[in-house]
Amino acid sequence: MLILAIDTTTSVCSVALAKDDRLLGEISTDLPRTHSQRLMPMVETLFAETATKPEDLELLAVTRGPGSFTGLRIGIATVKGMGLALDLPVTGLSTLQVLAHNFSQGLVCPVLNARLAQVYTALYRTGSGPVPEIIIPEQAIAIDDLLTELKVYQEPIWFCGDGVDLVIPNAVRELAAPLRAPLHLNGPRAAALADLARLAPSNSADGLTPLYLRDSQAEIQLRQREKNEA
Amino acid sequence: MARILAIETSCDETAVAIIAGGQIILSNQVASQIDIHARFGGVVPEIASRQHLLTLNPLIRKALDGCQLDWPDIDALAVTQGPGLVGALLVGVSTAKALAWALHKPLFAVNHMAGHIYANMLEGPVKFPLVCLVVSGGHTELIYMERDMEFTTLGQTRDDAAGEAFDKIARFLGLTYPGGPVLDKLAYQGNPVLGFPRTMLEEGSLDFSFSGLKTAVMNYVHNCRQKDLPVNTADIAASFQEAVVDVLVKKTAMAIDRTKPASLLMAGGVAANSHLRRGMKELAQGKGLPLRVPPPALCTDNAAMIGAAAWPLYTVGREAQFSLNASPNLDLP
Ligand SMILES: [Zn+2]
Repeated sequence: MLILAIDTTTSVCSVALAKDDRLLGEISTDLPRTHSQRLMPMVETLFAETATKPEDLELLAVTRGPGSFTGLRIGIATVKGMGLALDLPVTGLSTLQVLAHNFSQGLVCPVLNARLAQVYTALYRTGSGPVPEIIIPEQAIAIDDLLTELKVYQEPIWFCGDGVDLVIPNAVRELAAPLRAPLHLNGPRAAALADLARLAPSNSADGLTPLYLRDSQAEIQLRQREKNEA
Repeated sequence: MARILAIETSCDETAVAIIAGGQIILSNQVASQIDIHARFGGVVPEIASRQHLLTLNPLIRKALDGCQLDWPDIDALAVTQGPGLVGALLVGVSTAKALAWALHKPLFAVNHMAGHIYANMLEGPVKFPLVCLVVSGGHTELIYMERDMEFTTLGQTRDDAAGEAFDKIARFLGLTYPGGPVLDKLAYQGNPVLGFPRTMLEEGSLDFSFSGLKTAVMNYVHNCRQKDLPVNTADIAASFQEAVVDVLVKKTAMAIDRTKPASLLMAGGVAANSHLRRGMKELAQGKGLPLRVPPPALCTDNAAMIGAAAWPLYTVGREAQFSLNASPNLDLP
């Protein structure tokens, strides 16, 4: 099965092409400049290098969030468009699970900077099976509250993602054995996404929905206002 | 005749159209988000982007199914590149690029304002050179076109767009959202007896300014309330509207005298306003010019106009690259 995997949820832009259990190619950058300008040229390069045509594809995979709202929409809109044009199924997976899949052993806590003094995070156990097993589900949470939840674990925990710098200083004080991911395991990789997508159920392109984990600021404020008035 | 599938997501309408030969509307789908934004009293960019992402795919399918076409029947894609809300634009741009790549079809990037102007071409060819008054929620511009796809801005707003002024005054008067059409109707029940200012700016300028008018209306209402006088919203609507229309028509008249065009056009959401349509009709008759105004449904945001504006790009093969980005502040070429 030929899979195109796309991740644009953080400052990383990553595309990978996998045939069954073989990675044919992967391009990843972590640079400024918008994913909108980078993504399709990267896909074109990947297909040219691997002598692949869009019609050869059998499955599309995308990280559906959490992450930058604009970023995740670029990825999702792209695979939705491809899925619509090529009549292909789409697998949408959590950015956090994809990050956890960078590891093959132990507890992994991916953290993404959610601003407003929060991180998007979850806790996974890796090594117990082919995919990371979820221990604490995805949430947007204050860093102190996250560390309180993690205190019960007396074993090493790997931290990865663009929120590590926010979490590690406090984690070192609060937790038994926090570990910082090395650079090649710190960002989401489309190859990890492709590997997970092989084993996950797929959806129709139209049915694919984003995982924001947070309402828009306007909705939060409106709810607050309505609550105050009530 | 080549068929273009066009996508528009620059603000709060998700829109898809299929246009043949730059002129024949085979399908024109618009999914409005007005109800979703109404509780916020205006368009919320993040919510608009989220909604576009959910709506666009089914709408494309509906556009194709509606005229019993499938991808092999489509020759090219077109998408609004800007101006507009960046997050909203990106949903359309990303989708359109993915479609073009997957289908090996050319993609054309369209300026939203050019789209508004080219909504007029859906009614048949127009005579160049022309002057077009573009009036919408985000724009108030006088555009001169010597020929196809060549735009010169003669004047533009220095503060609020005309549509923005309409919306703000409507909200201030407590009218339901969106305020423009409501104000339009309400004005018929009142008389333009309140002498609100007509800001003409410096001698010979074709620019616009509506903030003074807006402030005058607000001051008037505050004054009435302070003195416990009744506030006649219908009279305010009629007077405010007359002031706006007056300025728009006078400046357009100046633009005509200066450039001597062969035809006069109007475009944009506010071009659906009945008072403005009447004022411009009288102006065109006085100047002996043919006037073209799109039907109201093609004045507000739609994708048919994007397909129409993509046509001249298609005929000369000016394709967009896959590095195409959304341009929230895109100027007319
Ligand atoms: Zn518009």
